[in-house]
Amino acid sequence: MINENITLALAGNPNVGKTTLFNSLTGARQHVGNWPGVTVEKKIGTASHKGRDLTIVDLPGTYSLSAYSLDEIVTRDYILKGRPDSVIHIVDASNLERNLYLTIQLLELDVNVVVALNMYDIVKSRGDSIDVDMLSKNLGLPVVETVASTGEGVDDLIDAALEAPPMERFKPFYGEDLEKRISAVMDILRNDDKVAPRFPLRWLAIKVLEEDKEVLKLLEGNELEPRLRAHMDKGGENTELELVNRRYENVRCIMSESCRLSENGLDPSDMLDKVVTNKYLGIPIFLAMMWAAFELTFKAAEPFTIMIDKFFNWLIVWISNNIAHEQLASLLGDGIVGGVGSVLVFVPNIFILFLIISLLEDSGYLARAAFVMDKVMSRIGLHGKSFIPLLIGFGCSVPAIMACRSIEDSRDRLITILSTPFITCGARFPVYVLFAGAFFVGAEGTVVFSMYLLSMLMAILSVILLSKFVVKGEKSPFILELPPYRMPTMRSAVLHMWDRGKMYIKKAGTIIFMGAIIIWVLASFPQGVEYGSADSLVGMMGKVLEPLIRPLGFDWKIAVALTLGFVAKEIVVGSLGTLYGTGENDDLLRDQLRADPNMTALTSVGVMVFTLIYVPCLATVAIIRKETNSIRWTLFSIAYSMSLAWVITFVIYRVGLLLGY
Amino acid sequence: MHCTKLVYDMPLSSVPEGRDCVVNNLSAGRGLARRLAELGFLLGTKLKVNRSEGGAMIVSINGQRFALSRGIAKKIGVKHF
Repeated sequence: MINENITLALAGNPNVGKTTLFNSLTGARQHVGNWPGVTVEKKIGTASHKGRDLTIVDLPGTYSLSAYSLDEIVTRDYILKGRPDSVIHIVDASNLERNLYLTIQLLELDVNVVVALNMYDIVKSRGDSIDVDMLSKNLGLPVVETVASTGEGVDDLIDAALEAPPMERFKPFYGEDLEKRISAVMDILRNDDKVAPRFPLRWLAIKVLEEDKEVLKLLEGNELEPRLRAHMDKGGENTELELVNRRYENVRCIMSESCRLSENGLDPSDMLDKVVTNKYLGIPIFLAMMWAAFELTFKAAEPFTIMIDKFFNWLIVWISNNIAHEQLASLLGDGIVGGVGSVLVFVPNIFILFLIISLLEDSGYLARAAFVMDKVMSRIGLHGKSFIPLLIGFGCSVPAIMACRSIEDSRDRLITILSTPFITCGARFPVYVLFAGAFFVGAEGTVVFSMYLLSMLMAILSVILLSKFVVKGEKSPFILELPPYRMPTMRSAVLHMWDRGKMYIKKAGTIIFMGAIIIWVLASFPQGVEYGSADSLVGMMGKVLEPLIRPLGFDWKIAVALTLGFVAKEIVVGSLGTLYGTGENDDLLRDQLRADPNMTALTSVGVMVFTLIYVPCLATVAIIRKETNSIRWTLFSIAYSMSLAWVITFVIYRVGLLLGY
Repeated sequence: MHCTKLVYDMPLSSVPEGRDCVVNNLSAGRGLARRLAELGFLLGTKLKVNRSEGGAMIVSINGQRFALSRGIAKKIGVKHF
């Protein structure tokens, strides 16, 4: 027997357990989200079933197959052009009507479809029932009950997808008038040999009547276009809505014979929503949740942070004691271990914060938080969805910028991408701790907290500036499904945390590693200079850059630290340690900073503010490039944050001097 | 004789919290109107307004909840009993 490779595509609405099923089929480490629009790109995995190799494609979650959003176009194009052997349509049984609306459209694409009836347990718990055999017969498609979270029914589902018995498929009926128009358009399209043969004819005719913009693009300039136009214009704008209505009628007709559904009683989600989205309680609850999340993050991470810190300090001592070659020991100890270690120290903080965010997301709360925050966000010109990336930004800007993918509108998405880096990420925290501890003894907490507050204000200011002057346009309409509350599972939350957090570890291993070596070289050469002194390459560089930042009250050492901090903000602290000759000992560095006549409390505020605002790190620049797919916007982002940093620090420094600080 | 059951035509945005209403017309632009219809805001569909207080609203259709901005809600005409 030839072991041919079979491709199965997973399609369905958002929040139906599609990604969970994908994970249980492929074992791939993928994101499971309780947030609409989590999967924007299609994900591919492999599986084997009874000795046959399967390729599984996870398509984005969509409500429909119109050309409304990029997700829908991606899904539709893949099914039409990728020609999977079968499409597994995951259906939320507790919300059958809207899910079958998509089934109807899949039927029209002339592909093999198998329906996975998921979340049937919720239906049963409501006291409702679905006659699965009847549903299958009415649709003319195999229907298999599944529980995606436990993998129940998945084997039967694959069997059905591989060996579907021939059945008479349901054919949606659009009513006499529309059917006549569909036939007329089909008759015209039959004369076309360029576009029509590539698509199911009836589907194409319906899309023409809908005036689907992607299909019209294909037919542009075609000699049949005027004749098609005549048919499109007949119904005016109502045709599209009429088609939607008729599809729903078909769905209801199918359901009437196979489902017994009662009127919905009081839903526990509604009761929770009453509290969580309350006019007065909503924002306090949200703030309390956020406060608890950050408190928990720092408290729970502390023992791990101390352990990691101790380990790297021990490693540095061990290297200097055991490696005889002085320069090599310095490269390994001061350079690589010091640099990479300063990044890895924040891994516990970032991972715990991401774990908490994942738990909130999977439980369904994050969608409510987006609703609560919409009031605040809409004042500054964005809507509630943009708040999620900003929240993730407190951990690390890189996954935060990636999370902007769930924002459909391109204007909103760009503004959010460009403003997210202003949120204080884990890497900027040690810079605040260093300077607050050196110049604000006794008030460190307040100073650090103020920096966090300032970072939120900066993000808001940036959104306002960008939407007023740079990325103009109307705020996009905000519609967001609020999924039912679910008990989050640790497994999925951990997978999700890892998905976001791994980028940070990768950064430590690649960019920071390289950055650490470069800094060490710059600080050690030319041969024979004192490590990190004014005579070293790094010192010379600082002297060159000094005039640029002299107006801010910074000297060459700060110039060097900030320049190197462009690689990653964590490096600012480490490079100051190098420049002041105190190495990894932060207490000693604080003493040295205080003793430096160039450094005052005011300049230390300046350094913190500048660090907060300017380009977070190379990794962020790289991800902005990737996510905006534009060098122009990437360069804009660098110039924008640099000039904001300079101007704001300048104002603070000058006003501070006038006030006599 | 007086009719005891009054039916008002109004935008969804004006329906008080906790009340039911029925979709009567969609005056949104084409893309949005279709999206709303596909999500279940069809003519004749019963809606329940869970939240309506200044900002975005929460509306449920047959147990499915949606948060939508007031701007969209203004474009959904409803009958309200």
